[in-house]
Amino acid sequence: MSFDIIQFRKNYPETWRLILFLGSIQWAGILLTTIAVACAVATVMESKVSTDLARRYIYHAPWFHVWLICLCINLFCVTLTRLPWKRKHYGFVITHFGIITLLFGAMIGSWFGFEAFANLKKGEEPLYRLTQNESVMIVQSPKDHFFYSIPLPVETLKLSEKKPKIFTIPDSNYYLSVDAHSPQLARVPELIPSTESASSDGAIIEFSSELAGQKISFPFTHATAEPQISDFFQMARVVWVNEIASFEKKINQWSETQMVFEKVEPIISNSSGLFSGYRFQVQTNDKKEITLFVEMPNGKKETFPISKKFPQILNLGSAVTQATVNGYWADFEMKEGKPSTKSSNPDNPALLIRLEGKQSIDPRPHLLIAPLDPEHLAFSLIRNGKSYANGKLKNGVPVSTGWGPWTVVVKSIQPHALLQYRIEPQALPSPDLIPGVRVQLLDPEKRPLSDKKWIFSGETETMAISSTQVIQMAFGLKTRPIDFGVQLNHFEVPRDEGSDTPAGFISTLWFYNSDHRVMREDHAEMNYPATYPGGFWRSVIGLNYKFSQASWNPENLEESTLQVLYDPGWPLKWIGSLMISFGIIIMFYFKDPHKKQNQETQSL
Amino acid sequence: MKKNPLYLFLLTLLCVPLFGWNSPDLWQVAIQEQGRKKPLTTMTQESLMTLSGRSTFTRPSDARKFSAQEVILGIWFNPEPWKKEPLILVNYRPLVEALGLDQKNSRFAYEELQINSVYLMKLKEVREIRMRKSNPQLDRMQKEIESLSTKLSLFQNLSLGRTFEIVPHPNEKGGHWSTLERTEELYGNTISQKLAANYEGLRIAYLDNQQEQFHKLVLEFAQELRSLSPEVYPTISILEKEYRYSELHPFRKAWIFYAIALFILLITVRWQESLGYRLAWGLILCGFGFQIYGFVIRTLISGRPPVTNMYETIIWCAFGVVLFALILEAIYRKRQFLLAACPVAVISLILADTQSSIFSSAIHPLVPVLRNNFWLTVHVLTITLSYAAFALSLAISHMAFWQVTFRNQKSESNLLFFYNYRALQIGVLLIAIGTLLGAVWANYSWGRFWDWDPKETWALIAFLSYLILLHGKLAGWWSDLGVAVGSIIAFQCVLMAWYGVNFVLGVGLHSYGFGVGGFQYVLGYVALEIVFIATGLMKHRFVKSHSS
Repeated sequence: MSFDIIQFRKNYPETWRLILFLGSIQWAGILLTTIAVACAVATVMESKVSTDLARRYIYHAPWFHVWLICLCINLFCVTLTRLPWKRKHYGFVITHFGIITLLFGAMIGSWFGFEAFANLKKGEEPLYRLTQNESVMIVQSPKDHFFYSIPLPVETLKLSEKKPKIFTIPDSNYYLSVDAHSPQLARVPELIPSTESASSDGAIIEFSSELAGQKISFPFTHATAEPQISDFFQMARVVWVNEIASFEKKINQWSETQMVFEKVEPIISNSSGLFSGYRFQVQTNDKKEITLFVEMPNGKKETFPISKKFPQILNLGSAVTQATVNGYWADFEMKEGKPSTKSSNPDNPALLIRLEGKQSIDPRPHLLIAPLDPEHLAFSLIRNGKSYANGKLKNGVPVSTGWGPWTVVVKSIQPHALLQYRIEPQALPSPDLIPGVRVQLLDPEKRPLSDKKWIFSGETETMAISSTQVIQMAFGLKTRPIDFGVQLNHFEVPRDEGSDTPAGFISTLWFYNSDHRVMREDHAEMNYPATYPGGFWRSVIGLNYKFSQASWNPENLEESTLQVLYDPGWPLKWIGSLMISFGIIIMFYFKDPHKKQNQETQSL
Repeated sequence: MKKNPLYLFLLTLLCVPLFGWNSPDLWQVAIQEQGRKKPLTTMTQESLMTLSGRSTFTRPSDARKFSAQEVILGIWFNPEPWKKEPLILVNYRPLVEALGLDQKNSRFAYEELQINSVYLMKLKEVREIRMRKSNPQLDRMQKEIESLSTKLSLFQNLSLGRTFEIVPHPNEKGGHWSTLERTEELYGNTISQKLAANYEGLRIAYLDNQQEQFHKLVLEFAQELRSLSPEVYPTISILEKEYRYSELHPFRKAWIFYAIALFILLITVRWQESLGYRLAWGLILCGFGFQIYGFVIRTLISGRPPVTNMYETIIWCAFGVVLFALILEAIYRKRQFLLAACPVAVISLILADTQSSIFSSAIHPLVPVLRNNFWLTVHVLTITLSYAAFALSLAISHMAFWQVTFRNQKSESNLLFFYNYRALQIGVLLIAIGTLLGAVWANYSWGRFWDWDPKETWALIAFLSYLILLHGKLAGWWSDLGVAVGSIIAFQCVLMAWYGVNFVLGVGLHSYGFGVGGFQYVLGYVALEIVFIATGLMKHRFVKSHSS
């Protein structure tokens, strides 16, 4: 097909003038300069403010995309202005078309492809949904109970009471208003007066540390007469009791039961949660007699013959007030949840030992608190079994615990208490806080229908829109369904020699089809992503889902997070890249082999 | 030309470092530190560099100079006196002031810093912030406090022997080595006591200043340690290779050669041109040879191409500048390329050699995302070579600009403008390919082709700047002189992409080698450029308007 450009220019002079204008070098200069300046401004914005802002106003803003389209038009038109193309134009045409191809590929990628991530834990069911980095509000329709996903980009939206985001609840004329977002919400306990006659005293105490910038609340109510023991960072304990003195005595008592064996580790259970330090082992001699070998905490070792008359008393020294052997099983097995013996041959001998002691083996400090009067709680601070501080805790007056920087203060005392939890934003960040939004239901006239309520990200909330209808809602990250499932089968983090720094990350992934059958196994390592369905040519064309190692949780080596990419625009991107590279090479070094050497000093 | 380089080469072989109190065999003792095994000599140099910012220590009381070996072993064997010597570098002036230290000095003793109440209080504050947030934004003072804390911890660990993990693992090649104190866990009582005796012997010989005895014992110690686990212990040849590399300072020798060559080229512009040219070629080839040698050894030691931190990129850049200059020089046979390349190479290598806080020459294992030799090589080398080409263009543009505006030599400058264009071509091609390669690598490694990460974006901005420059010439918006000025301005974008993103912006995925300092020097350089261009242009305008 021969295209006569001269004829075209004669027949369509207006169009030609437009092409000349759109493809002009002046226009190119303006486009390139503004893109460069915008990008520079964006990087400064990213550094000074945030990445999200830079993306919203520049990189992913509609005007930027339009500008890139204008650039493509400019690149295309300028190639038209050089028709018919001669040998010296080849490099120029290939380069320009290469850029257009690459940008076109990016466009296809953003329309037909997606980026998501998958946070996988070993042993979980295969995931058929991936999470994306956009926040959404999921609201249920009261009519068909279907869940609708509404974009709610909290990072860039400036939500406030004056400017909330209001959207219609699907299939109804009610509205949902979102007027605040917080990245750090916590469940804060509160006591309210209870009308039930069986309810009893309740109190909330709060520990705070200036150093760690944390506040931790411990609510207590008396559901039973038993003391309530709460753990404090595994370094101390808080015990809510009825009466201090009687419990103080109990602190110094512990009892331990050990089921000990010949060849395997014993099973130990101790009332204080700690280990007494007494190591036992069952031994048989050649005469098939059973003896008990003991290694005591002070290093002393002893062996006792077993009389098989139970309970048999053992003398383990003064530290233990009572030590008895309470049972023997020659060939131990668990039957119906109870220990029993398979035979009378001592093939797997086991002994049941019970120890009791009066000296506290729990070196951790304890805080005992008990109700006293409407304004005070009685308290006692104990270390190594001895009380080092006691007295009254007045409501609102902090007291130092002696546990490093921690102080404790009574937040509220309620004689007939009901414990409730309120979700509240916290002032200081802390790793255990969860993001969330504050929502409110509005009636068809946009007047408040419910109270304002904070909801945690990832939790479903139920609200009544009328006396007969309830709907569910949730706030979280957008998820995207996929037609296959992915599961973490194994995760490995090899380390650099002699240190803890990771040398690499290897996630072994299993891919399931929609019938829950495993179709493929692949490894995702740094720089070597896993693919599904796999295959070299599918990757070339961009029809593979790519799973790249994104991040890990140093505290849980059974957890791995992968970045997922599906990019049907990929082939255009690499083809465009090749075209640009070769185009430039041709333009610079192979323009016209017939040109003489001394002509090179002339203009380009 | 054949005679001269050889002459000079032989001369350099005589530059063998003299051994004073340094043990000639200390390199035979291997240590496992920061994820790899290295000779103890390397560790002593890196440690002193971290503590003090220098490779030697001069004691103020008697001006005696101590080598890195002497200082670090001294801290190990006999820490008390070393705690009082002004070893630790604090070069951030506001911090020196805040700590109430003598403003005239920049190095202070461990003892006085360790108990400084202001330091302790500020450190506590920084630690609290770190406990609360996983990725806090710290200000300059806080980062300097943390850096100081690292130095003091290093000193303490050296004095307690905790860093000296020199006892090899009995059977695993990648196993964790142990210190002398914990030898018993790996090898039992007998061996532990023997090694303790060796150590005591060394210590006594060192303290009694018995040099001969010390050298002998060091060799015995090394052999003893090796015999514990010969399969795991690095071979003598590997240790020696690294030792020779660190003693030779190939990159330092390279810039010395380039500097001499530059000097010769300058003085032989009109007089003895041919001789000067040949001498310069020879010297530059020598320097280039040292650079190649340095790269080869460094690659063998680290197991990867040397382009992973600021130090390595700058020495590779210097290499690229000289390489392109040599190639273009060979084609066009004019001394301009070499004359342009030498100052760039000399300045870059001197910076690399002296600014240890920005350019650390220590060899560390890579972060996992960089552990892919193919992509690493191809992408990073290409981009850095493009920076080298643009640096060459920068130098040539300076020369051309100088000739036109300050010297008024139009004819010669035409040639320089053409050479600038040649350098720009190389740069534009390589930055395009390099950036695209980076995008393709990111597509595999991070699962996305282009994410507007600041480093990516600035590479694009630099590329666009040079494109605008070349298109503008095509459109007639500026002349060749304009291209020269534009090359200088556009190079600032390259500087931003290479240095600014890491050290000024401090965000994004490319912040691997984040450091502090040096910013004022870069700003100073940019200011100088502006002054240079402005005065040149004004003078040019003045001359032009008066001549017409």
